Amino acid sequence: MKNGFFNSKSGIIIVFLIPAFILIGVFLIFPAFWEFYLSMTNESLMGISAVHPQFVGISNFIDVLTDPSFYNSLVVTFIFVLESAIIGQAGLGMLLSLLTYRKKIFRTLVQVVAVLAWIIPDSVVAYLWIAFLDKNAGTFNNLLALLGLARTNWFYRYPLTTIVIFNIWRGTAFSMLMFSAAFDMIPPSYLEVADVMGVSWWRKFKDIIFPNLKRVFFSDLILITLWTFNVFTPYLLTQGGPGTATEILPIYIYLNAFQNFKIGYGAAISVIVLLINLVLASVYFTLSKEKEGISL
Amino acid sequence: MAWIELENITKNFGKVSVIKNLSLQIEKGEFVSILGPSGCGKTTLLRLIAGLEVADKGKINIAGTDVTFSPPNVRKIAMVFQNYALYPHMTVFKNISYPLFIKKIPADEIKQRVNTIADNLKISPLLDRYPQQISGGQQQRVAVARAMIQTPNVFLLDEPLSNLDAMMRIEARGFLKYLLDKIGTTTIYVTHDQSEAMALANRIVVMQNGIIQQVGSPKDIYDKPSNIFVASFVGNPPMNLLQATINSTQVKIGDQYLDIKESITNLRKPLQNGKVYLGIRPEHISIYHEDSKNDGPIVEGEIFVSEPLGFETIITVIVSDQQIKVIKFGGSKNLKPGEKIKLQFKKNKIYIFEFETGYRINEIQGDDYDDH
Ligand SMILES: Nc1ncnc2c1ncn2[C@@H]1O[C@H](COP(=O)(O)OP(=O)(O)O)[C@@H](O)[C@H]1O
Ligand SMILES: [Mg+2]
Repeated sequence: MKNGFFNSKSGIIIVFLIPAFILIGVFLIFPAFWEFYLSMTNESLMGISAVHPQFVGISNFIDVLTDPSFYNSLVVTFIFVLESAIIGQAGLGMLLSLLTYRKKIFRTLVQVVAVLAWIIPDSVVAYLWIAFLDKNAGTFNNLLALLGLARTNWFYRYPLTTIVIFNIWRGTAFSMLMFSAAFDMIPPSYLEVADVMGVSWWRKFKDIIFPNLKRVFFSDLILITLWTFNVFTPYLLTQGGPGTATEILPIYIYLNAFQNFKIGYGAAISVIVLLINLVLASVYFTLSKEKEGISL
Repeated sequence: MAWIELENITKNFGKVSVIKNLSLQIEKGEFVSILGPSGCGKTTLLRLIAGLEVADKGKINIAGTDVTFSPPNVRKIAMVFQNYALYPHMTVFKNISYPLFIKKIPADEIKQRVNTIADNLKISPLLDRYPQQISGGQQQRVAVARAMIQTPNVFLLDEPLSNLDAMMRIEARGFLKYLLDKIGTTTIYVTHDQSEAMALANRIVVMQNGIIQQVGSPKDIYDKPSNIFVASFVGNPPMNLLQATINSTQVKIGDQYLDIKESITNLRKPLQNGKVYLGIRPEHISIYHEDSKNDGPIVEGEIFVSEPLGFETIITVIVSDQQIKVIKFGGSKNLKPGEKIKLQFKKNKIYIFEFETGYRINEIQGDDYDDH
């Protein structure tokens, strides 16, 4: 017997999508709801509430929102995201792809270096950076000493700057690859027409290049913002310290949930972070959809 | 001094030599067409004039200024690219006004100038649309408008009609000619389509492999091609080129002797071994009947195929194993494949080309247009 559903086009599409939906459900949607549930309990790793967690309503949220160290983390995270992702990775990525536009060999070289930083495993990278920046034996300080400059313990003197630079180094490749691919999609004649008219480089960027890669640009911002917001690797370098100087939200969550064993409390922070992420993503979406040409 | 002067221009891309020691002069107000097969270096030549490429050797003068090493913007040229290069995120109005906008011309003057040009080009109703929302022919006009509004020293047009379908192309061609005649700006128009070059230009530059083959008026190029390449590139269907041997009075094609005394009276070069190409255009061949007047040499052949095209018919005839195309006006009755047929070549329209070099060696007298 011919089955109408399986023979229709949308039927086939739905059938093929089922495995994906199941995976997304099991590994993304369910944990999100579970997280939300946990955030309403006093679940912990030890003690009575580990066995019999109790429903506590929104008291975890109230605790989080009245905790000064949460706001410290929030501020640190925003600085970290702004400086390392938006200014650092996207800015530097844009600059590098502009500088290497239509310079094949140069671009390949830069990309190889950038991609290397991107693909090395976290733990190896952390080890390399600790070795590189070590006050007494580190390569960087040895270099400074050679130049007659003072050795510095970078992780203590400039902790946030250090992890910002670390994250720029680590993630710029992605933005550069995105932007370079988008540049290559712009027909060279767009820019040559502008050259003939005598358009300045800044105007070319503003009026011709940027509008043609706006979608890619904001997609990139969404991705790197969310990744940086949720990145945990700096823990391997600084453990959130010294003090709470580099205690970005993922580290803050980890410390609360798994070092202080307050699972429910940690879940509440996660839910808040999730909401912030949603808001940021929708802002970017709105910006990228905005229609805009040159203004006369 | 000519308005545009190219002097011994050479351009290589790596090991590929694209333009070879090319010189050309263009007068103010001329409409020059660069004609050649694709890959012969036409676009490269245009880009050299625009300053988008820099020549390896040679000099370029535009409007009395040496611009050999100048960037594009100081050359006061405007270019229409093959793909038009309209900005997809700008409306037609913004596209056309952009060159003025970046020169910081006041908004109301911009508006007025765009409107005038849009009127001229009959694109006023499209000003608020985006390039993706208008047809190919309209896009082409917008690109021309954006070039015109810059009031350049010279227009450079790179195959501006090649993206249009056949019907649109002929219409756009006529309009372009009307428009460029009207504004009178010096124009260099690149095309691989001989009919475009013939229809538009005052002067045609025929190029092959980065070398100019001939420069002349459309009529010259058509009537007095200097070599086999030009002869076979211009005209549709192209000129018939038949392998032949020649002595002072006769040409031999296969085993047929043709009396061509009148065509070879003044050969420019002494004949070497007598091997030549005989060239004759399809429109200069007629079907010979007993009662035809004696107007040139006659060959015998066999009809291979005949293709009626409405007004005219193209007949392919095999003469001593070589194909000859003939244009016959009027009906095509009694032209059945396999039938014997006699063809008469118009005596003063016969071209003799040297076999080795391809150069024409007979002189063509008169420039009568009394055909048919
Ligand atoms: N930027 C370039 N790099 C290398 N080769 C090129 C470049 N531009 C053109 N060429 C080569 O030069 C030759 C002429 O190209 P072009 O000027 O575009 O020819 P046309 O416009 O007559 O078709 C072609 O063989 C082409 O492959
Ligand atoms: Mg070309």
